[in-house]
Amino acid sequence: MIESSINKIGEYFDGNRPTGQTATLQAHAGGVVLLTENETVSCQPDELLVSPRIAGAKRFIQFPNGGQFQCEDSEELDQFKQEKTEAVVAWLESMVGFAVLGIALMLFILQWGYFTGIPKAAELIVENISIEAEVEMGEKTLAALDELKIMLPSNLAPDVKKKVLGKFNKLRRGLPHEKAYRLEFRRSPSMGANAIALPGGIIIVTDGLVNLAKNMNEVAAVMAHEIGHIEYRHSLKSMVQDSFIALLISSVTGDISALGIAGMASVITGNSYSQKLESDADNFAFSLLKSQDISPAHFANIMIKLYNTGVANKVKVSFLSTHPPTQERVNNAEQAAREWAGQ
Amino acid sequence: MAGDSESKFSKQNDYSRVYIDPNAPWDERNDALFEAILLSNGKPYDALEKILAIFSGGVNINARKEGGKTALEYAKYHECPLRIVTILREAATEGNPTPIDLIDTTVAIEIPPQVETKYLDIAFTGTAMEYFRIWAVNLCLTIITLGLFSPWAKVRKKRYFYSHTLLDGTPFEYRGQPIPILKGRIIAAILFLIWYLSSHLFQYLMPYVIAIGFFLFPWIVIRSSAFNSRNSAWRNMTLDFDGTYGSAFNALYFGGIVPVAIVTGLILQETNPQVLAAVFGILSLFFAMWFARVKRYIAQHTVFGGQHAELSVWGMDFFLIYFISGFVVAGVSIVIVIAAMALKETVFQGQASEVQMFITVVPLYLGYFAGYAYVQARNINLIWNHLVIGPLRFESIVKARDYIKLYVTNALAIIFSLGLLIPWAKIRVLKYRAEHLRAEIKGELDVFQGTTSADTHAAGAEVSELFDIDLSL
Repeated sequence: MIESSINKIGEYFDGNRPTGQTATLQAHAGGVVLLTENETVSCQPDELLVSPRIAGAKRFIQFPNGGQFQCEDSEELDQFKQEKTEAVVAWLESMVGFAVLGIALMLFILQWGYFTGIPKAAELIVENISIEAEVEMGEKTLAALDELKIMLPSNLAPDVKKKVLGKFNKLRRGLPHEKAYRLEFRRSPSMGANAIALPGGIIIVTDGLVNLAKNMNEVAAVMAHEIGHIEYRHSLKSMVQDSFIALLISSVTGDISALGIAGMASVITGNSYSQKLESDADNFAFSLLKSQDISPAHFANIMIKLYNTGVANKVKVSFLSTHPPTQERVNNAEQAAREWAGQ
Repeated sequence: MAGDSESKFSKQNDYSRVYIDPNAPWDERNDALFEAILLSNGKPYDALEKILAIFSGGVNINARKEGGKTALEYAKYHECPLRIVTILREAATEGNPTPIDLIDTTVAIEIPPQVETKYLDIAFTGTAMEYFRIWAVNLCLTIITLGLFSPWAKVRKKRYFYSHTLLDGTPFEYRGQPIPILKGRIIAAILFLIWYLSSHLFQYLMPYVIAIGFFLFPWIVIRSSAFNSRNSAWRNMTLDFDGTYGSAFNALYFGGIVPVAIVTGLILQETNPQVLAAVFGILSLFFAMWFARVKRYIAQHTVFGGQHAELSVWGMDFFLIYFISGFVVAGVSIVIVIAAMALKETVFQGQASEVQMFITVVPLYLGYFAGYAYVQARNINLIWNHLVIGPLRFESIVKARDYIKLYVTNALAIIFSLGLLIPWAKIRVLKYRAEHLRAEIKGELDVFQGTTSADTHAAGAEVSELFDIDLSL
């Protein structure tokens, strides 16, 4: 309610023409009178609608007859009816200290969300989606790889295939998603020695990898890593995580979304998530190998070979890469091998 | 600052300097041509009329003036509208100079009587410090509330930008309310989720989702255009939008979708790269035509004070802008890749390294910014200079090279301040745009007749369920 009387000078627009008239607004508890050169408008104070304060901008005061009075902002206008929620926000905005505090708080929340919140949320979501939902996606990917001739039919001898398959079946035995797994042999001139886990449980092993490996245990080491990706549902998890990150980045950079900075930021953050998934899969592989009496040292050996053939990661600046530095992965494997030997 | 922008405009618009006398000496006619070229940034149509008039009288098109430039070079230097440049280029190649005996002295070119034209200043009065506080509070509350605050944030931001944009000294007013925006965003989020799930997990649903989206799209376009219009007010009069579902469906699909479907079909069949490139070119031309059509449609149905807007832009205009920027980016990229390859051979002896990645990626990004800024600058000029609402016209004299500088420095500032300078960058762009834009009116503002705003409030309530998607001009 109006406690002190208000006297403001501004401009009045009647809503019929985009031309204004200089006007005086006088208000007290009993009523509001607006005077222009040739018009007098009067009403009750609670019939007015005042636009919320926004920095130092002019305020718009709407009259019940459809006219509008515009004037410079001042404290006394807060006595009129206006939107409560925005008044609080306007008050927060008026303080530089809060802006600084807000930025600090936000950095903290972003950091927490990035390292803890989002991976946790993604895990929760993934746990509630059955692995069968991924099968179609995996099959489609495999079909596309075949069609684009990235993957060609395998040339491995049947007895070699049988040995690899035997190892694979031994590795997957007793795992929670045991039934979902399927091993596919392919030859890939473009990818060389490699293994890939597709959504839904398909694992592709290339001829190059089998030929590069000195023994079956080394092939098993790589397959164990890929099994880790599938056990942890990494393809779905990274999809969910990437979506969250995209949402977060676009809310921060909303004003400048088109500048491409958002794209750059999501590549870098996506890489760090991907590295975390890779080392999770590595650790899974180490314990799976240990449980089958295979030394994690085989993992280290095959990684070194892959590095020398140029498949493994050679980029040294870690945030530019989807995989952790190879040296780190080899060290971890050797560490795991020593622990295993010590038992 | 206001005086500064005033002089920028008035220099370009002093009409009386373009005086064309059929009996004038050769040299004076050439001077007139250069004046008309300078004018064309602000008033392309009037300038075009002048230039054709000068041509019909005869002119030495390849004469060098103004810093040793020919008319064509001069037009390019001043970043004149592409149509003007094209006409000059054609004239320059068609055989020149025009024989003096062709000058028909009976063709006296009338100079139109000076119509009473008033200029309405456009100014942006926001400051980086003020906006920084609004931005920080918005961002913080949005993240704490997991996005629930974002409609309020949008309203605060729009209110700030609108009320600091002054036309003829009066601020704009944003009347959008957070709750309808929240409802719209929830609907949009649900639709996005459906699309996301069907494209990633349940692909057998995809055909249905596409079919529904096809019929939903025109509705989204008209609802969001109506929302944006009806919540934008100036001097207590709101804009309005009177497009219907049927007309939107027609504008979005017919004349665009059929050729695009045919061309897309051809692309899927064809494997020959040359044919593919040609087809792709045609497809992008179609896209530009479609884009112009949609822009024209939205303008035609936008109403202020009973006067419908009119936007005379065509597909070719957009196509040339994108085409040129495509060339700029492709050119920059090729140079950088070649340089990076040379460096790889010499400095790094064939070893891949991160340093090399950086020196390739960073300039590529800068090239992308430059291309993007170029497109923005050209689009802004194209649209504003071809927009008419009753007696109201606009003049935008944004320069592509200023805009490129602005965008590249903004990008660097944002990266090195880890995002803290985003508000500063945003304000800078808006200030620059306002300083290079002004409205002119032939006659009186009184031709705009509003219905009393009691009506507009009812209309505002009517659009309570809508999509909050920015499709503004």
